[in-house]
Amino acid sequence: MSDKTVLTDGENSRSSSSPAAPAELDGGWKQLARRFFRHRLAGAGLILFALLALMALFAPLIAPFDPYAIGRSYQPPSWTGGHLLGTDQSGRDVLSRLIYASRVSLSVGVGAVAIYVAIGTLVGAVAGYFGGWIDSLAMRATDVFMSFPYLMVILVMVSVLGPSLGNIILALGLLGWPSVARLIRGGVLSVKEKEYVKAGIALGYSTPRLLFLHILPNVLAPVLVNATFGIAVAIITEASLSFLGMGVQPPTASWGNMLIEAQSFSTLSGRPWLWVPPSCMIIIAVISINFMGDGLRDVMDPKGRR
Amino acid sequence: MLNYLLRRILIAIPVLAGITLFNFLIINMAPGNPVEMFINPSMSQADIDLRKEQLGIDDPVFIQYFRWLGNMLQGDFGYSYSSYEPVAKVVGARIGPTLILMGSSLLLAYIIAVPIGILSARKQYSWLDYSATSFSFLGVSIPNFILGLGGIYLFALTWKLFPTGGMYTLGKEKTFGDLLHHLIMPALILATASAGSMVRYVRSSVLEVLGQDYLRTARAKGLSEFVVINKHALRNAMIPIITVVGLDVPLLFGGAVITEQVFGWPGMGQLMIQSIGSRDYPTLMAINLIAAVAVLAANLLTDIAYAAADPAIKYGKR
Repeated sequence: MSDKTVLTDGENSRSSSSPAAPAELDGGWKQLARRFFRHRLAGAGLILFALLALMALFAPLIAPFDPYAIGRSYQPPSWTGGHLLGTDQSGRDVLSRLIYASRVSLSVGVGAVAIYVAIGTLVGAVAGYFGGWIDSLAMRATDVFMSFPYLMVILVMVSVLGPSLGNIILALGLLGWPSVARLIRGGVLSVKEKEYVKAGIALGYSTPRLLFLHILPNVLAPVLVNATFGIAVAIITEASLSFLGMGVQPPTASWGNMLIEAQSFSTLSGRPWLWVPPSCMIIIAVISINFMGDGLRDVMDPKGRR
Repeated sequence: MLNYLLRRILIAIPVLAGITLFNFLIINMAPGNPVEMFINPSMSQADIDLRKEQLGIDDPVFIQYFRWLGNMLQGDFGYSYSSYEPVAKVVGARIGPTLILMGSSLLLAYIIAVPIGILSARKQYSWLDYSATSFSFLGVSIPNFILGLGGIYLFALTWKLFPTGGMYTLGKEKTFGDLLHHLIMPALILATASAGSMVRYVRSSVLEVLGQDYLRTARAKGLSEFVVINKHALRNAMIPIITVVGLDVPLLFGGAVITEQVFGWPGMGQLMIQSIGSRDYPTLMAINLIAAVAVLAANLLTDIAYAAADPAIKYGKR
């Protein structure tokens, strides 16, 4: 039902002759999807990301070994011994840990972004629609949050809350919302003056109905781009935190904490199978998401494509 | 301009207050208190109470906050819970190395990104443009610590071109050359992410200017291509780039934490990781505060530089 609202509202705003606000789409979501799939890198990114998601979803079926099972330490990779990517210090199978770790990265990425998009959308919509002191207060709050040296504050938050997957998601979610709030606020500010909103007011629609069903769907597009890049940032942040020992704690595998061992030079120079694969996985995950984000950005703003 | 400056500084004050409050509240949510770390079996309850009173941690949170804020305004950041030295001294010794690392990274990012961005805009859709875009993409996508590990593996362990970490060679005289030798790898690695995003900004900004009518006019007047590009196009294209610095400083601080940890660089980021380990809250709060003030100052300077560079911007009225 909400899909239909989007399409019709899109038509309305196109027919009004005012210069298009940056937040608006020319055309509906269907056309966007078509343009997205024509974008080659975005398509490649989507396929890679889908593979990663499948890997995370079916980890227990794909992983050749139990990721926690202990065996002989530091076995190098071999085709015959069963451990395709060798074993780590505790003799756990690196490949299986690699596969299970994708669950951590993807849940941090998607979880954190879902939380901050929800907070940011709510704050931005309320600030933009009501204006006045509410708006000033919300915008000062975004100033405060945007002045934080992001990683440093997250480090402190996670160390205070206790390093765990849930707390990382929470900390990232609680700190990421200001950029979304600003995007939404900007969009709401320009859309709320449109005739169809005025018509809604005249028809006596309730404020939440107007705001959430009629205004918000028209300002969400730029947030989609922001959120996509946000997933990549969240994955990098989790990996960094885990690498610093302040993230997901062993024995749970995360690509970041698998790299902790590489801080010792004997592992770094002598056992590349321990740190090359997790590094590659992080890079692949981030690049595939950034490709999608890039594609989405080009699709949303055809003028910006060069 | 002066008016604008004053207003801008006044706005920064509530932001700063918000930052201190948020910082303070998070750290006060911490389970356990530092006294527990001092307790040993030989201490009597009276000793423990005395210690608690000295640290003032039994007072209500808001009193602690205002006491901390008041002390801080007088330059007193309290005492480190782990080394018992004044925090100002402990953190002060770390500011220099971090500034050296971040400053040289920012400089490197500019030196790398600006020419590449300009070239890639002028030769749009050439192989140079494509490779510049791909490199900027990789720079943004590869986390610092992976680049750091890879760098140490290749340049320090395999080819032995650079040291694996630290700021000076132990037991040797602290010379500038030695510092530079230690600085190159961490600074370059910290610069990659900034350089990557900067290339894109420069490229799109130059592209935008290249399409403007006044450049066609300049060419029609018979000006040489060199003058058209360097005098007419670049000056206008560079203005938006100034704002990137302001956006980059918070990211650089985060990157510095990781880079310092990977390379054993004795700066604030490394101190931060140590302080987290020892629950040294006064030190942590001071580090976060200094970083936040630096971010605010960078934003302010960016705005001023922007106003100074672009005559079309008038800040007096609004």
